[in-house]
Amino acid sequence: MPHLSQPSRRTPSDEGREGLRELYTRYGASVYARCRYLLKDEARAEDALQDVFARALQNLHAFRAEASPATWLMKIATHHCLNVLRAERAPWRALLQRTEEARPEGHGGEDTHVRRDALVKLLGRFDMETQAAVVHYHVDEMTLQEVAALLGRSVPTIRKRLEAFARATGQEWKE
Amino acid sequence: MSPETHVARHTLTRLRAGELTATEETAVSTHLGACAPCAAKLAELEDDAVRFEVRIPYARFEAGVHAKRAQKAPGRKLAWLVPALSLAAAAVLAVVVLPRSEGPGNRIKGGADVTLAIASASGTQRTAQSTGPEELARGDRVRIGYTAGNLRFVLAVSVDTGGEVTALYPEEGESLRVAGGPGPHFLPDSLEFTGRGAEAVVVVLSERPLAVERVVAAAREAHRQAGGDVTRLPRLAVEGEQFRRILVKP
Repeated sequence: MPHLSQPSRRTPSDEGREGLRELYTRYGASVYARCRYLLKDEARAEDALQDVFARALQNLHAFRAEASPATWLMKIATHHCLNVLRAERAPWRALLQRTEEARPEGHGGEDTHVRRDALVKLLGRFDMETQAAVVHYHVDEMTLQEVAALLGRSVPTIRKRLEAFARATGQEWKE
Repeated sequence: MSPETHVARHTLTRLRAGELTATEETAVSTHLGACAPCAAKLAELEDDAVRFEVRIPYARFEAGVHAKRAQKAPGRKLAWLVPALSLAAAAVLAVVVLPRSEGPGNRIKGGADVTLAIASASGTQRTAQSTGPEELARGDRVRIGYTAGNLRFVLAVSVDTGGEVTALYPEEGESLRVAGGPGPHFLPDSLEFTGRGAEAVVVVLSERPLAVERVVAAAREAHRQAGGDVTRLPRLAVEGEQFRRILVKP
């Protein structure tokens, strides 16, 4: 992306409009669910959703060339939300204690909710890359290979990070 | 695919988006027909999609996305090098000899300092003047270096003669925590300044993180006070030690 020096100040093209509607229909709900899951706030999740899709629209051609646009979007959304949280220095614990807590992503039964919220609660103790790896592995249920490919790291590196996360949180690591 | 393995949530997301190959789709569909938990997981995703479209209708979504694009577009006047391409330049820039003193007002207590290393298209390197405007040639790429001294956060913005303020590092959020060690440290990637006329780069080193939005607003106000002359830009109304360099674009 060496030439962002030619920014588009024009009205989005018809292609862009069509592209955005398609993105909304195919991926909007998943991206929004990810943002709400991490940010625990509907308004902030909507704001993050707009940021993620603005970026997708800006890179529409590259985005379409992705083997899996869903994977690309979930990576961008996860990274964006983790950055928002880091920037705001919002303690995860405090977020979870908010009285108006958003409904967790998905409906996997009470156990699943507890497990997934506990996961979010623990994330803040780790570096950004580990946080992203944990979310993609445990929440998206990607394989080690998929997470490694997504984050541009080797499988052993991702395994090491997930093992460290498991160790530090008193969980047993199993692939 | 056996019932024991289950379908990953992400695979179901891709299924809904129509991204799976015919073979994958057949395998997943067969599995879903025999696995209640996975079928339920897919149903949850379908429900989520319905709720999403009610909660955030397309028109609202579209307006929000375009507003975000409009916010970002004016500030994107920098060309960022692809990291792989800039590796060689970065390696060379890292050995630019930094001046130990740049005149009054530029060396701050605690040893904080800022330097702009410039690499030309032909491969030569130099350091931007601290006492006057630095003329840039077409293709020059600039990298911002700092020595934090006893300060802990760094943030950089630029202001052009038209009053356009660009958050350089970071683009949003709050100041970056400085790198460990004595420095100098260079901020990631190099920048190409496009357009014409003068542009001031202001680097703020501070004890506490500053909100980018606040610094951008302060830079706009400073531009207003200077009457659009960025060479006369006053100190921004934010905490921290500030360093200003003037670049004149080709």
